Amino acid sequence: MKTWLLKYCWLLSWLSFAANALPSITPIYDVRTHLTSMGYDKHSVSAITYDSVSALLGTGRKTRGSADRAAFGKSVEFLAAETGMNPNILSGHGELIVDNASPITIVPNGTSLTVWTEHGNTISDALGNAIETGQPITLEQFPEAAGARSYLPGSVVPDYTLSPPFNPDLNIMGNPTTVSTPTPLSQLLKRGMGNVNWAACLYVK
Amino acid sequence: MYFKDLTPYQYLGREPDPNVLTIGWLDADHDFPKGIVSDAILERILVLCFKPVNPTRGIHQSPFIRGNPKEPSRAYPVEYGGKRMALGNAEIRVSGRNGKIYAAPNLIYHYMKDCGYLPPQEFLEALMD
Repeated sequence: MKTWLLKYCWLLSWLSFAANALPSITPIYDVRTHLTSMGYDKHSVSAITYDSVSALLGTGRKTRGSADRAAFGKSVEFLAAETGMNPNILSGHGELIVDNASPITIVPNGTSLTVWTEHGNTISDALGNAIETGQPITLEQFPEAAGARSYLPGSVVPDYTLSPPFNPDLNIMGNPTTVSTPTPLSQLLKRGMGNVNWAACLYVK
Repeated sequence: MYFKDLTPYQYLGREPDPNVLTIGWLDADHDFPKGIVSDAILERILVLCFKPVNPTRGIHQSPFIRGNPKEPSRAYPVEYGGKRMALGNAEIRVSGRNGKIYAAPNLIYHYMKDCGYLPPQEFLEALMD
């Protein structure tokens, strides 16, 4: 237990350093790979990844997240107040629409993005529900979560499109952000949001 | 996502299961057997489409329908018994003989109805058993 706590504290320190060093270091950071290399059980890596990034960048509970929000404006609060939806979970049908070029966007300051599978893959509706309800996510239960990762502020990410959760209908749980028309990720990410979870596919059209 | 017919199912990162066999996972890059199936078989498939298995959070547009590449993928609308739904994000299951289970994308209905796809005979027999 003591060893585990030491590892966890060391991890948080490392993540804080990484965040403060941005953009002088590569902004794309696969937390899961790092945790696995530290010897964490692969079945609990995804959940730890989520908690670690939430702790670092804030979901409203942590000092760092509150500071980020104060520093970067109130757009997130406005969004939540206007819609009543949780801006930190984006749910629906997802894909990357590639025409002649692959669209990209940049994760804004004070915001990180967690995606729950490898780029190009799909996730089950059940995994989406686990993301929405904050249930523990294990690779044993959701093998499609292999390749899940978090992108820190300044990261270049594919500009996925979120479509409404119907036609075909999805079982949405909790109160995540959904859209009524197809909307690119770049229009959903704002400054100072803390950790945002993409509860949709990363399918490439 | 292409899988050869009657190969062990391993979608969504799962380990291949020798008792669950793929049917109708077509794409535009692979030829597939063609033939005519009865209306009764098509109706049976359509009924199963209204009991979706493994729904996912993305829409797989038929590779045989041309759409605008700049627009989001579109599902395939169907109607049965006064109910409507859209195909392209889930699967169906058919129980066969000797403990076999066949796993097909629900777009198999469109592949059979509009594209002339003829699934293996053992699958067709399992459907009507």
